[in-house]
Amino acid sequence: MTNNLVEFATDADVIFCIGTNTSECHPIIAMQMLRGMKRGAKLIVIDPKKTDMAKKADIFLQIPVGANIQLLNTIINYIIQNDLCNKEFIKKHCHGFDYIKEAVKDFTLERLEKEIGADPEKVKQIAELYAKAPASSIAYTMGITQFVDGTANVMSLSNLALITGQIGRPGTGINPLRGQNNVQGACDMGALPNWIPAGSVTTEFAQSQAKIVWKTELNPQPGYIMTDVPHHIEEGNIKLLYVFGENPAMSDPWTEHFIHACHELETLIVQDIFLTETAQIADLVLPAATWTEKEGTFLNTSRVVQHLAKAVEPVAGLEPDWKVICNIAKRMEIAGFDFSKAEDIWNEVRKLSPNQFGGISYERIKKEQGLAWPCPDENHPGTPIQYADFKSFLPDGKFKIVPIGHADDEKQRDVFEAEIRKKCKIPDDYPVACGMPSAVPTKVYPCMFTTGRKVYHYHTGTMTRECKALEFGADIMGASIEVSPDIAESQDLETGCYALVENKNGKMVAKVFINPDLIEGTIFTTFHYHEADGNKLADASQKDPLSGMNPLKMSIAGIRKISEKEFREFRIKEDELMHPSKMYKTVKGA
Amino acid sequence: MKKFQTVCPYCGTGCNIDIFVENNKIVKAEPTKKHPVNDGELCLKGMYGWEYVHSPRRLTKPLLRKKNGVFSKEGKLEEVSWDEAYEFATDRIKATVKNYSPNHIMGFSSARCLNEDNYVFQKLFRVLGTNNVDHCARL
Repeated sequence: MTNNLVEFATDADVIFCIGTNTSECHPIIAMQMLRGMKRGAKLIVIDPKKTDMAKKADIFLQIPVGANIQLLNTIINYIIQNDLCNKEFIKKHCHGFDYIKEAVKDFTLERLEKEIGADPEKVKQIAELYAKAPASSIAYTMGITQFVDGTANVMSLSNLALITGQIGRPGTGINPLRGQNNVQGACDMGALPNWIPAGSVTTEFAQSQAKIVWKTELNPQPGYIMTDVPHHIEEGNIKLLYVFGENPAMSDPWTEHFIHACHELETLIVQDIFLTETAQIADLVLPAATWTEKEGTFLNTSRVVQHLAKAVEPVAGLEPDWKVICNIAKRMEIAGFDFSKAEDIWNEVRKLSPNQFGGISYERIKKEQGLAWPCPDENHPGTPIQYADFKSFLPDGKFKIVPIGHADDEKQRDVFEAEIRKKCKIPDDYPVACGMPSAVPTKVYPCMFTTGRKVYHYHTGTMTRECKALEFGADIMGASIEVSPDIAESQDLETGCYALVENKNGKMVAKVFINPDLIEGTIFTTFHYHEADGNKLADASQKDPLSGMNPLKMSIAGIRKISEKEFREFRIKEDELMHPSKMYKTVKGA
Repeated sequence: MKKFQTVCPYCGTGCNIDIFVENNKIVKAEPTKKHPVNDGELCLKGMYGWEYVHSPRRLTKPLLRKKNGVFSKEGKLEEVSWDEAYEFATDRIKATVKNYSPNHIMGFSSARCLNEDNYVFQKLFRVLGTNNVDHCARL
């Protein structure tokens, strides 16, 4: 996030939520937004699902899955045409305004109504509210990123903030609500194929820091991205995979493909706290201590480093993950892994990335209830608001507004990109992007298929499904297939009946729940349940050209009613596939 | 009953939780009062999502796939000593790097684990000469 999440409560005048089911996935952030509304802030919600927050919003616009760019370009065009831009901000701090003006000029309210059925009045109100408010804040999650045009979606939001100058001040900014407790930290710590804590592996700074702190020559060639891994295994490019604290056999798209590829590895090592679906196909499983059994730090969505105390002794004398990894490194006689406690590791991070973390010590984060990076020295107060000086990270300090088009397919995308470059004389090194749908319903697969979370569970359920209050108490419905009423009618489905959903990637079965909050023609399910994992149907063949993200939020599928007998038979087969190890069912003494 | 302040292990909000411990077991969780992130509030998962720590299904010993007492892809997972587990891991990593190249190993790190866990994991891969490390930020 560019800003701190508490600013939703204290500073934002308009909160613009797009592709986020905030009250289910980030309940406390939703609480901060509702506190903001009590103060007088206006809430805009844009989503294919009429979420809980949508019901509380001042304006709710329901759009089809994957229609973000058409909508955002229309809003941007309306803002430009009606002189609602922040001209001073654009002139002083931005490049590329003429490019975007050209790119969005055909995205009219009338065209948007025709293409996605969006009410022009509502779109107008959204544009005016966002642009005119003293402080408008954008919040988004995977309903923006998990598409083949995810990065173009994010750049569209950035364009919107830049042309209105809604950045760098309290209550403004572009705020991805991070889905996992330490996803920000994992990225900042260098768990990325192109990044170490000192920056991109291709930069001189990262290279020299690696030499000084690690005493190693850093490979300047970025590594493989996760979504390409099954392919690289099949090609023989990867022979050993070491997975820790992750369950890709359930969380990766097109799960069957991933599981199949893993069988071709020479070695699969899995380090986890439970015998997850991924651990069950491993060659070696290493257990480790879990949360509350170890001390350390997490980085939250507001870039704040926070301290976690150790509360209990680990079960069976297990050691923290870092220690298990260090033990392996030491056995291989690799220098630089002699850490005796978590704080020593953190202090090495501070040395490797002094500009970002130099001033963030364990002592300070405990005393000051966390600190936001960048925080270069011990006297620096941390940086809750990024870009407060209205300067970007680019060499000239200016922001780039990126022209973004919308096409029906890849060919059209290339045509758009070439044409706009020519027309506006855009240099080759200036970014240009174009969105497009990754799937269009067909006769065989007539429904849109999308996924998300429920408030009761978390990701693949490894932790939450082991908590009785959540699994047996709160979550009374269990795995279900939610369908929009029109699908229920055409396929003769009723709430409580069994159904099978399938497409070319996979199948799943569950009980049906007719959800009137879903936009027409849409099926929704979660990825919490191994017995009914929505990711089995996700498309892993297409990806975003920049991030490598697969379109997990946008697939097509068919659905039909099945008998209880068919349901039971399918579930048994599913259980055999996901849980090949007999040990999985064994309950050992506590 | 002892109280420890920690950070929620679920979504990215980073709510602070007071964990109450008795006889080395968590007995309840409460929101940290007046904390800037969650200001005395917690969601369902923050309040009740700690029981897994004491689940009888937690892994406690390393497991190695074996048939007739030796490692085999056709074998079943069996409990082994830490010494045997570490020896297998290091032998396999070394052999893969030597027989193929450092770029033939790949690591999936974890958005669920500590900064410190993630840091040493990626450092191991980098020091071995590869940038093949990623995690589920994309998913």
